[in-house]
Amino acid sequence: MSIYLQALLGGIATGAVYGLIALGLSLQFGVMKIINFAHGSFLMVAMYVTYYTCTNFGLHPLAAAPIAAVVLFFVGWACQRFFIDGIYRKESAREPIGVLIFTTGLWIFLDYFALALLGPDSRMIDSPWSNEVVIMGDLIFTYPQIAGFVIAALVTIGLVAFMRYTALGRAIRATGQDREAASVLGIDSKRVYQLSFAIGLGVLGIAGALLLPMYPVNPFVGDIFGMRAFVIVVLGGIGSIAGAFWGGIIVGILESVGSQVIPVTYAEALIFLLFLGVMYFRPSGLFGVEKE
Amino acid sequence: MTTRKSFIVRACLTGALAMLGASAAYAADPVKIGYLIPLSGSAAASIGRDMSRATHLAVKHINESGGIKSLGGAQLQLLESDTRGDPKVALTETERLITREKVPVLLGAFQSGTTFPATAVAEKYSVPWVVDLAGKGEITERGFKYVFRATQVPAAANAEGMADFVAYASKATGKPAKTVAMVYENTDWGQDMANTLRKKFKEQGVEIVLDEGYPPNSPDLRPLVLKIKGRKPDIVTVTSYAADAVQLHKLLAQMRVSAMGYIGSAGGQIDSGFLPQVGKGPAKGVFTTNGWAGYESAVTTPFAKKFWDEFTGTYKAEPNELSVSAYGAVWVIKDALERAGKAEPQAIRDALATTSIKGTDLNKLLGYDIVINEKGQNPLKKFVVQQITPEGEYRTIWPENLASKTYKMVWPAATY
Repeated sequence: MSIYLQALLGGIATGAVYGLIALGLSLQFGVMKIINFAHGSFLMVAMYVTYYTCTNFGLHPLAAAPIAAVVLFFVGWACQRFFIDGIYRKESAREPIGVLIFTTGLWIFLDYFALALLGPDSRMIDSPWSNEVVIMGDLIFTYPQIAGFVIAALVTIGLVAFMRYTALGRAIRATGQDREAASVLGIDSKRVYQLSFAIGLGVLGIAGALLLPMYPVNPFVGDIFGMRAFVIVVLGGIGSIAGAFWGGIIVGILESVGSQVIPVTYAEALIFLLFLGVMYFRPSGLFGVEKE
Repeated sequence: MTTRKSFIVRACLTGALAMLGASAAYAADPVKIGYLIPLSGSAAASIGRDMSRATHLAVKHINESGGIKSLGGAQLQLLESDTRGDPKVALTETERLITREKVPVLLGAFQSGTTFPATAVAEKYSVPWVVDLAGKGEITERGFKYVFRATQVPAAANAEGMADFVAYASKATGKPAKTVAMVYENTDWGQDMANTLRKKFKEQGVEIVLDEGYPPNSPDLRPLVLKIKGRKPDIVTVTSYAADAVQLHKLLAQMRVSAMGYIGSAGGQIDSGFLPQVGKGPAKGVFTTNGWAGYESAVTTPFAKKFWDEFTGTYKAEPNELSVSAYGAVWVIKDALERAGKAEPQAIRDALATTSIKGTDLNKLLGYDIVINEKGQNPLKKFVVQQITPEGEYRTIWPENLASKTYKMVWPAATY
């Protein structure tokens, strides 16, 4: 049943990139407890940045990944510093609903601004590398698939190590656990928030560069991936970085293998069914950290 | 959320159109045409944009040549609205164009999924609607009096063309196709096509090994292509809009899915973006039906050349069946307005119902006559089947009397 093996491995490869997309969202939600509805739109921005970098400078998409990461890092930092921070402070005593509504508006604005600026066309990069395949017996993998998996895994490991072993990483986690206690210990929560949002979007920049060789970009491409990211974040467990990665892999496998057995239209429903199941039996997500 | 999005779009378009309208200085009031078309947010957006360009070009040509003479040289004014491929948007926009803008005639909306419900609104308000390209059979089978389709026939004709071609190729080459995998976008158009394909393949004794609709604009069609590969079909029929067709054909080539032919349904495969995005390699050998036979047979008069040259000159892309049909549909409205003598819904409706355009330059461009029957349908359009050559050109290979004399069909088309 080599088709199923192909589906499984393909699903893992796609899922790793889904996980990477969800990683940034998980970080933002875990640390700042804000739901960033504009996450999909930022992915769209990352893909466009990669597209224009590649076409204007002739770069290989993987070489463009660090550039996209840096650009998105600064976009994220600026967004937090100039927009979200102000709204957040005003309602620091209660649930950040204002930020939620702001990110929803940002989502619509970014999508339509991209439409007005860049037009509705779907664009793909013209790199021969994206069509090259590796053939092992009956199994076929494209270079972007392999690169997607490897780099997504490396970035996740890197981020988990950063969070666990560096002072800055621990500061972020501390702020996420208890902001007041962390500030008593001298951790500047404002700086931590800026950093988390920036890192979250920086990771998204890499994900965009990995995604572009596989899917065309258009102003609304973020909507579907953003929706997936939310499911994955909650599935994997809020606040757990590794959880987001594994959640992505699970969704990728479910989508790929599930589509072989049932009509593809229902594979999407299957993912949400799993989501509902996890919510019912294990609300903190598969790898989530329970709050005391 | 949706109304806010469409409000911004409408506000900008109304502003742009106000400026357009202000620049025309004629004594007679302009005739407003409500135009619905997907320009964004959908796998069909790139086709919609091509069609919109052709529609605007037709309006420009009609206005330049004196407008509607029986109305004192009245100019045509397009009130364009982006449906985003969303039936809900189409419904509200149709309602707005009729009740607030008071348009006497509507045009659009390319996709069956939006045209089918929106035309019902037009029927309710007794405002005539000229369908440009939507293929769902039922659009003209509801006993409606205000819906007209001059430049497209029900999708069944398209699907029959695909199946008849398979039978022809099997016989003519002595390499029969025994199995077929049907994939199609799962909104009105795709489902309508699939219903006819299913019936015809059964009649012909071709075994259907996969019959699967998929949601258009899917981010990842890889699992679907893998499924196709697993069933090892002789033929793959691909009924998709532009963005999905590009993805599917790239994946079919990447995953080395062998087949005697991939057959498209005059959708994404004939879009101007298809070849550049898919690349000559994966596109080579792809078959597709086409409701327009192409430059050599159709662009033979100054009227047609004017359209062709201006379209290619301004947009750096060649017209195809989709843009030609959009162009033609506006001229059908012009013809009706001339005979109606009044820019009023009922008069325009009665004129449309008696449309008979034969042997004119327009017919030579389209490739068929236009005679509206009692259902509001013009039954005279025919489909051909073309194959994409290694040089990236579309050559007609069926029916035999229209087939290219210089190109020989390649069958089987994809072997790995």
